Amino acid sequence: MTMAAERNAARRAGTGAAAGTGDALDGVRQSFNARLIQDHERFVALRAALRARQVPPEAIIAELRNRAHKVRGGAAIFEMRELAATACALEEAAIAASVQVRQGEAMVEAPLASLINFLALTIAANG
Amino acid sequence: MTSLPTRPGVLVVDDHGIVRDGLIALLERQNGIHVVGSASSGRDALSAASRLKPDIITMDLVLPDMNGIDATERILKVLPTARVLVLTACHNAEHVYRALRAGASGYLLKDAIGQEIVQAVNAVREGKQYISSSVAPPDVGERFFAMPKSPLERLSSREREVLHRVVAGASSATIARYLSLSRKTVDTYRARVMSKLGVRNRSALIRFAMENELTEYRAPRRAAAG
Repeated sequence: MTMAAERNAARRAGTGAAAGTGDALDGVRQSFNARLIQDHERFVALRAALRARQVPPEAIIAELRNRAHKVRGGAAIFEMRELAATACALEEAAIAASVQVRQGEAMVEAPLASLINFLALTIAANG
Repeated sequence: MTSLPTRPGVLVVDDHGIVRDGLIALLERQNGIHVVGSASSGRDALSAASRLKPDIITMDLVLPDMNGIDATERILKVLPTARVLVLTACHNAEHVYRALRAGASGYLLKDAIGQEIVQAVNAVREGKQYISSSVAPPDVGERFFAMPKSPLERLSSREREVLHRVVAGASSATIARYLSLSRKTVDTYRARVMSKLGVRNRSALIRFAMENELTEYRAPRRAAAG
């Protein structure tokens, strides 16, 4: 996906399709959106750790998988489809990488970068 | 004829707090649905189901301590009138097949929840089967029920235990100590598991297990500072 396309998708995804209903779901959605900031920071830190090779890649890949799974699940519930799909791509890459750890870094690099970019755009779109 | 509950009680099972809260809020917005409780693990779900006796249980598949398929099977043994609606991000055929075999009445992808949750809850409440349109064609349920056991279902509980520990990185010697078996016996279990699953090496075994066995994968330790 190009940056412009990603930006449009993030804007469309934004706070989710059913935003603005003014009920309890909105409160949970806001919590999820707020947590995306922490997720973004953590993914950036994990990418840096992966590149620096300071810790075993297995541990990083396991955390990438678990965190991507959670982002995916939350995004799906709130109908943020593009975000769910981007997180899904990282989760699947991390599963594949976890059994081929030597090539693991290369396998997760592109989907991790996509998710970091998409999260940044989603956070910006959410204001 | 058993009459349908006028306001079905729903138990929500998911290990991810935001998803659980979101689902509860989504369900409670619907007229006629009452969320009676929630659980964050397979064992919690068993206990909550026995205590709260819900009419419908929405069940995640990847859960700590006991996966959603095993939890479904065990809950339905003690609460056979309950209907289990699997609600998951997993959409491979193996998961659908095993969930239905375990007694689930429905299988819904989280991606489709906004459009389909009410339809799915109403369908399983009426005793019908509901499978998300994005998972498989409508006849998938009957076809799957008629199929023989899947490779994973053919594993014995001891073989599955060995599989889980291999995936967690344990050596044969460690598994042998833990299960009070000889190392040779553990190696035999490993070989049998690989043969039953049709995989040739440990990497393929781990990959198969991670993709299909619904075990929660925990990082050995915190990956990076911060």
